[in-house]
Amino acid sequence: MAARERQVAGVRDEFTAFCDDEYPRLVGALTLWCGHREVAEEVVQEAFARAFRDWRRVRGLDQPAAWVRRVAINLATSRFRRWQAERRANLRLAGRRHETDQQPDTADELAVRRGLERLSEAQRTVLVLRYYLDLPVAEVAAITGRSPSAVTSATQRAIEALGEHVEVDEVSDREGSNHG
Amino acid sequence: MGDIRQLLRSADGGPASPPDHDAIRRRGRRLMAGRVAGVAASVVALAVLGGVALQTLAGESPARAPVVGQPGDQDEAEQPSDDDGQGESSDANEDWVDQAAMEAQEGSGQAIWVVGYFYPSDEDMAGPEFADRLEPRWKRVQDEAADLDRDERLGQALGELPGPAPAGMSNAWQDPSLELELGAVALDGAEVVLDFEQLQAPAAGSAQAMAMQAQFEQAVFHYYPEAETICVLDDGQPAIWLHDMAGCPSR
Repeated sequence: MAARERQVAGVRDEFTAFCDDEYPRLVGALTLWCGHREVAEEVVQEAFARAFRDWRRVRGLDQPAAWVRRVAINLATSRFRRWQAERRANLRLAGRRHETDQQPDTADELAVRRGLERLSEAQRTVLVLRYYLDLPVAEVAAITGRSPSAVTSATQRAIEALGEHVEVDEVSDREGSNHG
Repeated sequence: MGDIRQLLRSADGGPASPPDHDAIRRRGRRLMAGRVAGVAASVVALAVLGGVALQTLAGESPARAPVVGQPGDQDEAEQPSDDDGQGESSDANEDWVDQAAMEAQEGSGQAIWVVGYFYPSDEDMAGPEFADRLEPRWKRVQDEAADLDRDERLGQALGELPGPAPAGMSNAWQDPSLELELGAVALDGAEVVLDFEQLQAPAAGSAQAMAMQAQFEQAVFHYYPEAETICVLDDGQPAIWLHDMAGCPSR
């Protein structure tokens, strides 16, 4: 195999591994954020498509995962993009409605989702980034464009608001350990 | 009672399906194709609508917009290859925009210079090209006058940017004659559109304009890392059309 072909294959494998590592957690995060798995998949797939498009640049960043997270959040928070994604997701859902065999949600899960729905967009964002993706305050601040102290206070308010719908243990605000 | 992390994980809808690599690559390639078509569309808009209808304050010093996909612009070895064998199925390949893109690429292989953003006249608005293709896009940009938190922050950032001015240049943001009131921001595809309620843009090509451009790029890139181009509007009308974020120094 020529050196160039090996290099191309290596970059392809690198991108594939990047997707495998980051995609599932980001889908979970966006599912919590928007309340719809299909919409989350749509948004996250778009974010990774952009990473594919710009991979030459993205792969050279210190944290490519941070880039794709920020793009995904940006996409999700754009009403227009969200509307588009919902529309496409509905079409996809309609096409496979008979194939799904989801387990019914438990009362606790529903309570958490209902609680999240009632949070403001900003509160939901910091909560999901901070405690689902386990990102450190600094990265949440970078993604949301807030100061670290604003992130901390918004997170606290989000927990208090969620606590009106579901019982939440007192949070020890330790820094996340899984931030790529 | 529950730990917040456990509560969130319990409600995330269960394990996600693995990524559909083929679909991601196809969409990525469509985006690449769209980028070519987008640049070409601007050029075609210039041609179709005619110079009379096209206004730009930056027109005398056009920004350089390389056509992605032309030889040497993409390093294949650093781009994940598309091995699904299906090629592109871009919507943009279906119409005159694609035709223009193809012609642009086949022409000289040189970079296209896009000289500005179009602002249609009343006559142009009545034309078929505008109704079919340009009006929806134009309206979408206007309708997306965003009230999003992020956009407000970008507005604040733009307003507050002390920004070290390049050596020998005045700082656009410190000039009291520049009244910057960010009215709206919209992300239309990969374009960030900034609409100022009042913007007294400096003369194109002036040091002040260059300083302003650098700071726009810096601020927009911070909040919109996916942005490729920026369009600056003055109360809904094109003021400055900035191109090629990928090549801007702050990126």
